[in-house]
Amino acid sequence: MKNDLIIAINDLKSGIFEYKILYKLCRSEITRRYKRTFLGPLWISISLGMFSIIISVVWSKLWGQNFREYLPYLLAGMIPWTYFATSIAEACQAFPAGASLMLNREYAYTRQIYIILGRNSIILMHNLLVYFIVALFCQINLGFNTLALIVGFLALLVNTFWVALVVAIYALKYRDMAPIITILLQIAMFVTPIMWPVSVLNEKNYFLVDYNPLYHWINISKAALLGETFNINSLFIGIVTSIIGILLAIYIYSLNRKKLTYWF
Amino acid sequence: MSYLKLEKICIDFEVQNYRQISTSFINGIIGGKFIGKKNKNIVIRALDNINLEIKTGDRIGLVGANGAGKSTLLRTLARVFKPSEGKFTWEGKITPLLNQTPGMEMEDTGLENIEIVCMLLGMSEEEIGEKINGIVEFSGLGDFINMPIRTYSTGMLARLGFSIATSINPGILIVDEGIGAADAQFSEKAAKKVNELLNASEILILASHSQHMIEQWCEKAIWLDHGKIQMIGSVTEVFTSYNNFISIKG
Repeated sequence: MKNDLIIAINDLKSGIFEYKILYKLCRSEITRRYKRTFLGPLWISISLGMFSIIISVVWSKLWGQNFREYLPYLLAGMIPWTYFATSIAEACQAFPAGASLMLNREYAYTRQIYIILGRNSIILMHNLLVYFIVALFCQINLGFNTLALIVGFLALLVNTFWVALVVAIYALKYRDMAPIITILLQIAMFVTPIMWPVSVLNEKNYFLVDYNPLYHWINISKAALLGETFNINSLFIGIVTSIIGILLAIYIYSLNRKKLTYWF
Repeated sequence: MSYLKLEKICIDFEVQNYRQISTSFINGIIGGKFIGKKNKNIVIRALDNINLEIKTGDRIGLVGANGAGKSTLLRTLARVFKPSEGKFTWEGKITPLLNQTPGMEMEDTGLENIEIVCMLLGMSEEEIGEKINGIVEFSGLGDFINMPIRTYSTGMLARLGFSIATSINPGILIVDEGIGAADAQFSEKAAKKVNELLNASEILILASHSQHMIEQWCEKAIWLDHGKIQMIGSVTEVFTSYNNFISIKG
């Protein structure tokens, strides 16, 4: 058991040290995605941009919000959310995607998770560019508070990692995990205040937001992007969930690492 | 100093949700052994009580009928399947050469694939830089190396895969036959390359149905049947018994 834990921890560590390989793999995966298309990586920005603009136009009318206030608010929430949601959805296929390599040799299998996170991080950077253009247009005050984006991104990254690892393991073992995850993500997108501001909630219902870890993981980045001071509470929860989550993920990984290749 | 030590190794496969299979089907002529049910899943024992000690300089051939467990044993040695029972200790660099070249992407060019696959096979950036021209030249693909590999014929893909696979620095070389597939013009070059590779390895474990291949490369052989080692000995000894057994069984 102890041996398994050590091997699992070493696996997770190797991934970080393999950053050169990871970078190469992520880059080639992204360029490959856009081969033979004429819009190329512009697609990343377009899909997010179109969705946000259309939703903003409709929603701002529905909720009586100012379009110039709502659009950046929506984008600031959507960007970390899509990072998380895409990573978790892709995590369901993390190990099957690496099947030919996993059946060929032993290596730090967590690399499959790191590849997903790396790829989505590159896309996140892309989306941030779009955001900053919009922010300029909507006259958002980007001051020192925006530096907190680094902290926000780290909190998001670490928490996404452990959730992705756990999901990847169980999605390999049980084929109904993937559709379940899809449904949960869809629900989460509406339950978490991304498209709606927290202010519409009745005070007695604040618990819906307070006890939603996703809200906190997204909130640090969102506040930073909107030029607001972030909630220390969110950072605290982000750190605590990171620690508990990583420990949990290491434990689950150590139990199942030996069996992964049997589940293909 | 490399070695591989297997003690009482068993590899079990759980097959989910197939409860209606009859035992006679499972205890057939080939394949693993049905050892009962666990959590409503059927368990097949692919390798049964394997004890082996392989040291530097050993060149071992693996023979047996289809489904005997040769590929499973190779994969176990390559650390792909971790044993359900038993202890596996080893020292040295394990370099598996099992059938597929992992990570080949159809939309990428031959050159891009070489870089990525070499990286996945564990080569450092410097090593790839040194070897890449050699790999391109050996493959004989010329300008096609800059075309996406979805434009390649099967033969060209095989050549590319072979060139990459044989460019590794062999340590403990674990080979599943089938990596030699290529067209006639390539074969002479290929045979020479395989020669170099196998000679440079510290330990060689080769699974093959070809007696000629094993006699050429190995001095010891293991005969595997239904996941159990039937015999370990010199190549001549093992083949005499194995061929006898086949002719008796008819």
